[in-house]
Amino acid sequence: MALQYYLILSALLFTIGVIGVLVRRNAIIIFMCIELMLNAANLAFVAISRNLGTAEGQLFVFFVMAVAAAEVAIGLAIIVSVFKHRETINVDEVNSLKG
Amino acid sequence: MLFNFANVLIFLIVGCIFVVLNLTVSRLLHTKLFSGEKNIPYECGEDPIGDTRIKFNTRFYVIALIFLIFDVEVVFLLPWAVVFRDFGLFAFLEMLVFITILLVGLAYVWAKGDLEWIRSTQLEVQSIQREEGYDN
Amino acid sequence: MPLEIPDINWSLLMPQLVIVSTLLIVLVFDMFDAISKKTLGWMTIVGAGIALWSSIDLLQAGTDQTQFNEMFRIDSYSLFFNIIFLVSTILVALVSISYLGSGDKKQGPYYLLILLATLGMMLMAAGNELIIVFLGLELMSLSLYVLASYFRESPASSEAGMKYLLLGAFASAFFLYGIALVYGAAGTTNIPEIISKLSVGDQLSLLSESPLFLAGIFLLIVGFGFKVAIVPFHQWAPDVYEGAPTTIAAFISAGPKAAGFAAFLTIFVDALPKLPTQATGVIVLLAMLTMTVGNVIAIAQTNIKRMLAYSSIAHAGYVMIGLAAANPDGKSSAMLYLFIYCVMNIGAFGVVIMARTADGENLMISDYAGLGFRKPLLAMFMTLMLLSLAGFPPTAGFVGKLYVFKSAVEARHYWLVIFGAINTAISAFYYLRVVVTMYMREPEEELEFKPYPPTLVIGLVLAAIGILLIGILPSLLLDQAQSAVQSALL
Repeated sequence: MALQYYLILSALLFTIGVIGVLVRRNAIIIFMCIELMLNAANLAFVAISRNLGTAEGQLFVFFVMAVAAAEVAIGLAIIVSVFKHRETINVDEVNSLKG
Repeated sequence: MLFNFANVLIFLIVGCIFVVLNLTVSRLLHTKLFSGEKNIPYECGEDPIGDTRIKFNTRFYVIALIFLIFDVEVVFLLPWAVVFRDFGLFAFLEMLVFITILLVGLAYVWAKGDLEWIRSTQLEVQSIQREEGYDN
Repeated sequence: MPLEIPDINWSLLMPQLVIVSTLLIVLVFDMFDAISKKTLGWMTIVGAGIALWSSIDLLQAGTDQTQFNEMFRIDSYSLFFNIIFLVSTILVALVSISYLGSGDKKQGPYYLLILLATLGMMLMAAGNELIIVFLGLELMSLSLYVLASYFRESPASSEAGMKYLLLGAFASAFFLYGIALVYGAAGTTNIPEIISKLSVGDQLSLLSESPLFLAGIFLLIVGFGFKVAIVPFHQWAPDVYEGAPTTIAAFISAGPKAAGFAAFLTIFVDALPKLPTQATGVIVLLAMLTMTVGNVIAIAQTNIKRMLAYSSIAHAGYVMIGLAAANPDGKSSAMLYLFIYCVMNIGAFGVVIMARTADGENLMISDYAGLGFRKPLLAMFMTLMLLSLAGFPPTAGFVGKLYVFKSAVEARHYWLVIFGAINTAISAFYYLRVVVTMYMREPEEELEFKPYPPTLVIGLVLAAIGILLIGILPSLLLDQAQSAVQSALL
């Protein structure tokens, strides 16, 4: 199977994620875009591992999924605690630290 | 190679035409009557009593997160189950250690009172003290 | 299907195992409210102390092995970094015990997270496989996000946590995608194997010019750049240091930076000579930018935590000089520099904590006016740490800079050395300004300082002794670092 189609798709997903992080201002949506980037990497891992005929890459995907879940748990908790103080999660409005 | 995808392309095109065609036909044919009744989510159900975007208790969220964390660990159990017979005792002990560490985590959550749906007053006081960095 | 269980030599994994056990013990003990939370701090120190002792023991035995199917490397390189991390952890824990207050209920998870972050760092330094490095990086970063936002009642702390989280997770995603691309190009994630695939005999192989591989390497540099805060990926650092609890600012600026560089050095020092020359150019450019931007912006700061943040960015630039040199001396001098930097930076943050009044912390540099004679102990520690950060002899900071510059001269990066020297001069200006403020200016208002907590003083005395000892007898540490790099070459 041609590897490049999968890699192109994963590169596209990754780019969408990067653009989302840079353009959107809502912390939760930024976070979703980061998850999209991680999943783009997962897709690349699975495709490459299939192409090489080894199980390594698929193994990594398991670890990345667990890491992503932990990241979501921690990330949402922090975003909730910011919301409690500011009543907003717009990253442009949360900017009291400057200098 | 690319030609194999031709039928997918045809399928997509036909699908798009089908949707657009139906919408256009119904738009041309239907009668234009508007009433407040038509705009509510459930025409024959309960009347909504407020906005759907309400704040809800963070307890739901804490439980959901704890579930999420322990749920994802299954991802490691599945491959282990596949090769379990080949590895024997060693694999069993390894997984036992893994699960034990998780159980300690669960016990921690329990001891901190985050699993209680209705928190007792004592736990509530403790948690407030915790949040305020209470000095003994 | 043949399945083999790899031989595991548990005694080699002692440092990591000790940290894991300490972590579980702290977790279990934290469940009981009857146990004083201060005890947990001491447990952390004891656990890290045992791990430190066993790391030194393994280092002296000249251990050089891989474990878990070559995923995990226990050699003098990773053990030397273990020592850096554990020393930082012990110092930070000492400083924290008094900082958090006596009966504070929140101390349990605090030490737990510090231990988890330490474990993550040790994984990063010991990772022989990109995915282990990634796991270590995430374990460390996730703990640090929580620690940065640890003071939930403070809006600044939550904000620092959110900024760190969003930018850190963004960087991790870049790093992971970089790993995926390198894996695709090289067909393996084992670091030595990737490096050996870069050349065939004396010639560079096709891999070293494959666009997929170079794109992966570029993404890895971006990911690492964020984590160790080099310009232009540094914007998060000052905000996070300012908003996070001061002890955590000290922790983030020390261990994790060293851990980031530990993985950075493993991959790049050996790979750079085998990559197209532009790659070295990029690293040299980043080093120059990092030093200059860090130092120049630090001059304009009025908040001491922000000043230390920009200074720590500049110090990452000095370490990058050793990386750009890409020779064994560069590697060992960067290791030495990181050790010295960790000790003196935690020391400097420790003094900031020492200067607390009943109203909270005094973070403006002008608050330090007149402390030189009113608070001689505090001013003495501060002067020593700042002189060392500026790189004056006979402190450790001087030794660190000297060896880093020397390695760059050997690699014929003369411009880099000239830049480094100019930057040292610039940095002396803002470090000395604080010293001058302390000794020469009269205070605007009398500040009532809290009495010094004993654990904090112990931590600072240890840091001060370390700085002077390395400053006077640099061979104590340099020999270790050099032999660590030598053994990796054999």
